[in-house]
Amino acid sequence: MNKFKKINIFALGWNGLFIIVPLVLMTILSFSTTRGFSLQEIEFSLSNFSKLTESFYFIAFKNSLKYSFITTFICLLIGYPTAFILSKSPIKNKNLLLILIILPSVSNLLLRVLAWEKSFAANSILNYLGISLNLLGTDLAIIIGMVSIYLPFMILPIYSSLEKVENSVLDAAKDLGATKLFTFKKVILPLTVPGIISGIVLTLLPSATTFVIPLRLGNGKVLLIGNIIEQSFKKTFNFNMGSLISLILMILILSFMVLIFKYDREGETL
Amino acid sequence: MNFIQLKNLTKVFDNNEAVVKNINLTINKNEFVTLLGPSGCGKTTILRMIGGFTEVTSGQIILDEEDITNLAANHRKINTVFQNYALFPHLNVFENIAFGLKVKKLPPEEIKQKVDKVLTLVKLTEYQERKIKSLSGGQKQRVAVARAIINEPKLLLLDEPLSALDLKLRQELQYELKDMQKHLEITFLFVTHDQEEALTMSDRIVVINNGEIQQIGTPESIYNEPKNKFVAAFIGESNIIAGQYLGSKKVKFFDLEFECVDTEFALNEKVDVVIRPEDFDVVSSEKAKIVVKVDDIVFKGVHYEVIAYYGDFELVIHTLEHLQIGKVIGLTIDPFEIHLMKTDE
Repeated sequence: MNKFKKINIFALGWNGLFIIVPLVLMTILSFSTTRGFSLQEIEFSLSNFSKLTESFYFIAFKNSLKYSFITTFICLLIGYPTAFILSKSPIKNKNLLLILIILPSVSNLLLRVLAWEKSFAANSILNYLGISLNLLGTDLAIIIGMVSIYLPFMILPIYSSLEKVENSVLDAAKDLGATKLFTFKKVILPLTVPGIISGIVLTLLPSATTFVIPLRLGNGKVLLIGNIIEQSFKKTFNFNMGSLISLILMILILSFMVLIFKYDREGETL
Repeated sequence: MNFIQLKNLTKVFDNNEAVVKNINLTINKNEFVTLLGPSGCGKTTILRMIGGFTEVTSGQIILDEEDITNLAANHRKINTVFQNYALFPHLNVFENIAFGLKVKKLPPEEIKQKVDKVLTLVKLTEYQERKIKSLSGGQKQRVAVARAIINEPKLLLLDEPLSALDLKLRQELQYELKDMQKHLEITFLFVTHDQEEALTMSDRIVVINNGEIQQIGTPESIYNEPKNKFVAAFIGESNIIAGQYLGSKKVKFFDLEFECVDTEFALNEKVDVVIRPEDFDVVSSEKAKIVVKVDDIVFKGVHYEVIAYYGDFELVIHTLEHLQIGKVIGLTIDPFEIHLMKTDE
């Protein structure tokens, strides 16, 4: 028991130091104006909130929604059939195929984004093949980048929910006269809804908050909410605004998760 | 008649293992036939071939004069009650039962009417809104049966449907299923490894071992006149003793001569003699040819099971009498209870 107590205290301390303290700091910063981190000239006000209405933030928020929804939708469109084919594949070693899908995610994100950036540039190694993509700064570039990076997060949960559908249930549908399409619509699809939901959550959230992908592939022209936060801390040193937007984003994500948990009473989604 | 015919039905799996070998079987309309055999004997594979879930390697399946050997499962007028029920977990009781009718695109009022009728039949009317998860094993079983019979199949396949239930419930459902079968006039093909279940429910039993039919017959004939050692040992308990047919309804075993009723053996042919434990009559030692000493006694409820050795041969005897261990007893057997079989060798 004593040992567990020690671990508990350690965990509590860890959480306190790296979650609670930053949260408190962010909350304080959100409701005040300061010069950087210096709390000496702190003035509490709600002026940050009034700045939120500036079109600049509005556009970033809209962009975040737009890119993350498009990305998630495309991921679902590609991911479900991929997971379906994978789960139905007669190959014995399905795990190997799965690893092939996950493997890219193990490499550094920045590296992958940079690889796309170099290939999308007007002058790239592809010129040798007579191709010049010249896509940098376009919506297409950002969406290709996002989809390629977040697709595994869509495939995996859907795949595992498909694997959970018992063969005998599919036999039963067939036994009762159902065609393949009917079985898919009335049995397989409803039984894999939990996998679809977690796939959506796992792609929507990171793609809504990413800042590296639009920064590199958008050629700096496209701003997402993640870019605004990054810039507030690194370029304009407006820590107050950065904190406020981070907090708002966090609340949005948390309420989204709460909704999912409420819907998914059986705990199969996440 | 000849409602269902299996002709030389054979299944060889990819690893060249023949699990079903050359099965020939005819089932009549409205008959209750049971495939009985130990696990791994191929009975489920036969059922899955008839249902259309396993490809036939060679042979034919004919249902009501139509060759259905290569027909897809969803086009066969056959329904199955699966071993683990295989109910749709996302649908409630009503929706599970209505599934087959929805496939056929029947109008909702008609579906409702039919489902209500079947729900009454399986006594689940109050449960129609329930989730499958919240049902007990017996209730799930009833839903599985209801879901199958609502489609009015020509043939209902039941793959060990009661094996997961406890004894009492199993017996109850055995009678209900039998009743239902008579009532609905549907042909039942039932698979089980439980010989008691097979004896209770079936019109005819097909005993299967190693992918081959061992014997086909009514429960009485299978029990009383087993064709070979396997059937005798698998159905009920039996003492199987090596013997010799002496002609004119006489048989020799234990170096003693007994009268019997079988005649279809050659003079001096070696035979296996089957005597059911309950067919021994315990008498005083001077009145019998077989004299043994009681070695062990086990109380079995209705009767006592007595173990005794005649030489090295272990005899199992069922008697209502309470004997003492060590007591010397005589055993007599009525001629019609001595059953002779061809030896396997």
